Amino acid sequence: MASEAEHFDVIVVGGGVIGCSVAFYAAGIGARVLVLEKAAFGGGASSANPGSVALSSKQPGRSLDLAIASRILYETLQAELDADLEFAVEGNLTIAETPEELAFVEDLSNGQRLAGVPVRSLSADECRALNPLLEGPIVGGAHCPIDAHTNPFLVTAAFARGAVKRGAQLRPRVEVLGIDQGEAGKLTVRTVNGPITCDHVVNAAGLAAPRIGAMLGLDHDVIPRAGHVAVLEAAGPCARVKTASASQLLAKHGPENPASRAGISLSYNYKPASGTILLGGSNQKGIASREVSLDIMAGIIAGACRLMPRLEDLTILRAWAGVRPYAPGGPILGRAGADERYLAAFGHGGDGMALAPVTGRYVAEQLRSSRELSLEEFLATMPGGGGLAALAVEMNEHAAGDA
Amino acid sequence: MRQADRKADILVIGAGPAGLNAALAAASAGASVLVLDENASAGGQYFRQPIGLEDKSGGEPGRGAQTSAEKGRDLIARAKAAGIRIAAHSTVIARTGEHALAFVESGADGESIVEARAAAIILATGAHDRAIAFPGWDLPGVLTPGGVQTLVKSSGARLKGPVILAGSGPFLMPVARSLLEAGTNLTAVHELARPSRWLARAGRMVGHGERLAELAGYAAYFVRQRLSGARLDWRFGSRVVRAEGEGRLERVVVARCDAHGSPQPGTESVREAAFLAVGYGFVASVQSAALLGCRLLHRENAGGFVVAHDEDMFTGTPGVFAAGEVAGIGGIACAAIEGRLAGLCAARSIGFAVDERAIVAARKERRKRRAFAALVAELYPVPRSLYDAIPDDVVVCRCEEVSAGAIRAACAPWIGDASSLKAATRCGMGRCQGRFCGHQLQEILARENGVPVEDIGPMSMRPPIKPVAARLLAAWGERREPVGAASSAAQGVGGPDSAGP
Repeated sequence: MASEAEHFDVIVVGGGVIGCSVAFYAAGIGARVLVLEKAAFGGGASSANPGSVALSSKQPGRSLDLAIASRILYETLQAELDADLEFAVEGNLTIAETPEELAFVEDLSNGQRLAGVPVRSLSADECRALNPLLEGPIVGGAHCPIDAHTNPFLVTAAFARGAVKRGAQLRPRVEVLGIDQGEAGKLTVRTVNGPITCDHVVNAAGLAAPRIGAMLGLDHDVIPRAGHVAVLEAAGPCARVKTASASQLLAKHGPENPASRAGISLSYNYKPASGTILLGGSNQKGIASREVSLDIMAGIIAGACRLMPRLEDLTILRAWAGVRPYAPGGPILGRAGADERYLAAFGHGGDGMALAPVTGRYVAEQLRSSRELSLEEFLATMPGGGGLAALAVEMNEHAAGDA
Repeated sequence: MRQADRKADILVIGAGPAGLNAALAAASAGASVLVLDENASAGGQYFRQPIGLEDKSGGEPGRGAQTSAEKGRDLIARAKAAGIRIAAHSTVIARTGEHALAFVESGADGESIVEARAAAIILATGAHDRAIAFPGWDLPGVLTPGGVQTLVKSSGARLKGPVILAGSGPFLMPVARSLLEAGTNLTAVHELARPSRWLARAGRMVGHGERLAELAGYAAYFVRQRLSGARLDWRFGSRVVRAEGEGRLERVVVARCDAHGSPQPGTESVREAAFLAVGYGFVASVQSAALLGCRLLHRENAGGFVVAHDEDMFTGTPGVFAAGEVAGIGGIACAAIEGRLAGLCAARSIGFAVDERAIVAARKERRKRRAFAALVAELYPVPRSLYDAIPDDVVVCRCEEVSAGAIRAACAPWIGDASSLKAATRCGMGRCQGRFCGHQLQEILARENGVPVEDIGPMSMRPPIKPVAARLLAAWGERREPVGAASSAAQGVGGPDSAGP
């Protein structure tokens, strides 16, 4: 008895922020979209990150270009999704504890400035003026006023809701078992609930992306990088500017951080909407466990208290660990060497929340295009670094208005 | 506490009836036992000891039966005589290794984080009140039965003004008695369940004479009180609809209810009250179990998500056993025998010789106690309608001020589990980590999505499972070696000497 299998234009595998963004934009160009999530929507890295929408943590080049385009999209995302995302532009302060770290920050900032990012080098005193909690030894830093943060849960949920509103179907707890290349160009996605056919598969499976790619004979490289965050109850005066140590960037971009192999470094992130401070973090390369280690949590707190001693007086509410799906050359986007039926959208490392809007847009544009659309071509159609200048001017006007 | 005190063959979490009996049974098999309890003294809710009166000797004169505090004191004394170490003021916060837990110890020289290690762990963490939101439940003066009993038992506080007790379950009886004995002006008890449920199950009560006698003893006590002039009004089949007052509780609106717990029109009445304690049974306190990775399963009317276990109280997590309310609400006698069984089986699991006949006998008694507990659960059902009745504008999560309406609005078919809804609403992200709102969020989502609560799952529970001062963790971090890359979360265990100063 051959019952007709369901058919969709696009099946997105993975219901994280990337998959939901892809579904939202793909449904926006009229595609019939199904998102399959093996566990819970937004249950992986999308809910285990501090919601950073930053430029100053990105390496100049493809990674920064993507971040710039996405940052500009974030400016209007709340209106686009008709949702409060707790998006807040509070800036980012990168602090250096040694001359070597300061040289690294200077080098990074120079490259970012060339791309149009309004990042300014600061003396130690200027850093302390921006974040008075910084009482520990620092030698200088850099400030990017247009870096922002958001509530990651709300972003994923808003993309999901928006996608549903546009007719997409979202199904949790449906694991993909295999993908078959059938006749007439169709793909058959075999799931725990039976087969479903489609014209395109988007692999947005995060850590599981290599397993999905392998179903079509593709070899993808995604490395887990676990990270811890402790949530503190904010009390008393809290600096609003996000503050991260340069060692965090070294842990992110460098091969190994010799001082502490779990990549423990400071990342202070005040969340006014919830009255909490997210204190990170760690960068445990090759580790895929989400179990919280008390030693790593304590290492984060101890390190943070050396730089910001007044944090000692606060209470820790909980801690969590997430696993970043890290691709060595940056996120893997587009056809990735396969034919037009397959699109990759994974490997964002710790940048998935920041890059979700641009990723969804790019995948949707590629779906609409009859030929392969390179990321560079696509980014050329988006406002680039020049667009940031407008944001920065707006920021200054705000600041002037407040003063 | 000395460094050596933090290692034991068996670590018991919780010094209530289940934990103390587990400790005694394990010690009788020759195991060294350390019991941690977050309260100021051992005993748990049932055997709660008055603070500052621990050395008081002798029973209260003029009373035939021992009070529960006296029974508890005897049990604690027996445990100490058996060489069992009991650490009060010790709050478990995190798992540090396979059978190692970190806890906050508060001693004379302040608080610090220390580590306890053992070959096996017995979870006897009990349960807490099932509070279901209603209009006015966040007014000062509104408490839970467990909370109000703790107040009068541990500190002897005398509540001024009229007190109303409400909700459902056999626990309301000992709480009512505690309140009356403490000299409180308890004016009314509103028990939602109806006595008719007893008649329908009379046949199954045969063989549980001892337990029934305890309940009958309470009933007789309240009749005697009534005869001696107390004005306690005990109502069945009714519940609190809302609490009112300017800035604090002044009045309670109650109503008669149908079999589903819904108020019958025209039966509302207003009672004056300075205090109101409402609870519909208990929710198992599974946070420590979650830390240890134990499987949880849902038991309607018997604790919500409880620790899964086999007939020897083994949880399936190597070396981890559970006993008492955390394994499913069953009452004092059930907790005691489960504690004994868990203690014997835990000792046996790590190589101590245990008389097999003792285990067989304990299993048999446990089955009988569980049968009675199942019967009691049927007598005092928690109608789902109580959750449906929470108005949209009533705050469900008091820590984060999330209303029932906000939770319902965030529900969607693609949000399939409690943790996702927690993330979307922040319900359960505050200080209590969902202890009081978790079951409400689960029930609301199950109702909105039309699925059983079992499918919704428990909310994620994260270490530290109780809030902890940053300075304590910083101090712990400072005295540890730098964390190596090889030290994954699962292996993130310090050396045996690293816990001490």
